[in-house]
Amino acid sequence: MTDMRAEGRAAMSDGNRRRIDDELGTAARGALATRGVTKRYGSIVAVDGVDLDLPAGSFFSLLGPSGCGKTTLLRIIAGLEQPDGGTIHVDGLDITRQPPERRPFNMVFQRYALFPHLSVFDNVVFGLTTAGSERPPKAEARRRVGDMLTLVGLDGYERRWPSQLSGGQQQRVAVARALIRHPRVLLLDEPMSALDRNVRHQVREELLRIHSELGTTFLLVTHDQDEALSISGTVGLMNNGRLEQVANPEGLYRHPATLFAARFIGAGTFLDVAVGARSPGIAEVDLGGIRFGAEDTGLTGDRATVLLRPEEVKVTDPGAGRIDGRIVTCAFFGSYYELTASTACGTFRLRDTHLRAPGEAIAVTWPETAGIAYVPSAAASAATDDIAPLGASEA
Amino acid sequence: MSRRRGIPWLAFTCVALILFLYAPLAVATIYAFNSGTRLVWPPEGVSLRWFGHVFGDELFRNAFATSMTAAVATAVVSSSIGTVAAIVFTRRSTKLARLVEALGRLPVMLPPLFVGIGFVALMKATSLAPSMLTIVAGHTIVVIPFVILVVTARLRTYEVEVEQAARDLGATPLQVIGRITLPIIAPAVFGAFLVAFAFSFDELLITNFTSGTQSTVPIYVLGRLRRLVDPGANAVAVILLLIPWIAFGVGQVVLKRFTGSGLSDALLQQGR
Repeated sequence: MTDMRAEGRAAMSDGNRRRIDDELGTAARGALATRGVTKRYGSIVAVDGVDLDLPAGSFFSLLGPSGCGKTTLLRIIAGLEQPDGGTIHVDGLDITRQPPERRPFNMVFQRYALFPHLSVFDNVVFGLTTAGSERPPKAEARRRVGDMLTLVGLDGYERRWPSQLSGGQQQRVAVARALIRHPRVLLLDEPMSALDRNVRHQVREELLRIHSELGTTFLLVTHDQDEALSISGTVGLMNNGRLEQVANPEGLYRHPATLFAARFIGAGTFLDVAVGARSPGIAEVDLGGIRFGAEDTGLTGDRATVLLRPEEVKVTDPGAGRIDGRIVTCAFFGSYYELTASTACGTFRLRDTHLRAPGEAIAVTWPETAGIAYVPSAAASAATDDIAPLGASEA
Repeated sequence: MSRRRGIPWLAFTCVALILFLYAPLAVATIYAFNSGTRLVWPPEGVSLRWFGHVFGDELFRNAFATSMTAAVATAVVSSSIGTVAAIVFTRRSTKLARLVEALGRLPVMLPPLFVGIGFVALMKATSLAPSMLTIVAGHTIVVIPFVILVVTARLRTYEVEVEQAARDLGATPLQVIGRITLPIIAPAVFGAFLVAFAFSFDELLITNFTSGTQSTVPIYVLGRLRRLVDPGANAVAVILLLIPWIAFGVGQVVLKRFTGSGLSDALLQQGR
């Protein structure tokens, strides 16, 4: 990944890069903050008092299930929706009441929203010709369009029409069109949801390269945790209009703060346990007589739900593990197999390097201290099949 | 294959339908190019004498000029008002906008006779004299709903995000309309313009009430047929038939030249 990024950077001429740096001259700008942003649609609260903090130059992802309010929040930041409450600040300046054309942001729309009646050149140059823009002389505008198309790897596409481009190419044009105005923050609304899987991978690399090249703040909205975890420096997990947790990808995967975060990010086994002795940070838990220590997230009461990540759970021979069971499914994922095993204490989700036949008798085991214990939610109790989708997310 | 041969009714229906639809057109056209003076079958020869005869008639030339002026004016007025209305209706969803949209569509269901009588009453009440103004007003009332329909359909088929993207790139609301909305819907607006033109050109019922002493081509042909039935009336009918077709053809060429997509694309697929 790092190699490809370096390669991409090398592909851009030094002169080119210097020029873009000069024009920006703003690598330190682009700090975005929201305070108590709220949006209601009738009785539904779409965004509920969100406080975001994006340092200048960061790559931040808003992640969450559909309907969690992430796109609404992005549109409020872009100025396409008005919040019912709260303020938006960029570099300390309150821009809550400014119309979209006067905000120092530009957006890459989910379905690109290229102007169908304009060529690639006219699409990209559009942002330099509007009332709210700097309107540089023609020659300079042409040069900047060229620079932008070079940046996104579409040299020589100036005279094509949007309808002649593939999805990935349209997306690059949308990125170039948004970046030509040197926004302090680039807003990306599900930019990869309309792309094929392999194109998506390529676009992810491109976005990372462009981000490191320009140093612009990127704010990306996505429902795809793989995308959010692999691309961003910081992830804000949203649920029901609220920010559930803000952390770096690894922190979010290894230490989900809430049960929702634990269920949404990655895969895992969820066990309903009794809580025993509690020492600082670690709770002694009891799974039908099997005792082990789990990370304590502020338990109350005597029941808890414990998350075990697949990589914490190991398969051994029957009788040699903590609990005996049988293989239910075995799915191939290239470098590993993802197994589900049913036991007396529920279904376990785990990884192994060997193919195992369904029905095979095994035992599962995990370390003395493993997993994270949460206050059980009212809706989901008992070790459950209600787990994140198979094969989802490796951070 | 055998199954297809098994439905002679289908073939019969098709032939009957086509004959029924196009036989009068064919007969009128053939007689228009007839060289004889009487409408007898078979026609006596081929000539353009009746077209010359018609265009030599000053009454016809005046009627033609009146019709042309009325049709162009109707097309300009109705496509301008209709386009503005369509943009407002699709971009604002207040109760008032919806009410006005419904009211704007109503004239489609009004009998032209009613509109005509209404105009007579209105002119009496306001002592407004029948003139070009009243002709155009009468046509515009009936044709505006069509314009709104066609333009609204186009406005609803492309993504509103395109306009939001323009705002995001610094365009003011007015610039969005001028540089994004209008160019995208231009083929539909032009199509509506031509529909309005064609409608106005051969409108007879309302015009009868609103034109006063002025004669339009349909009124001229009706008056002529009252006096005598000769191939000249057929020549006028063919002219009435050709004018909208020529307008459509010109529109197709112009649009292909300027937008890369023809009028038929705009009217038929209404989308991207």
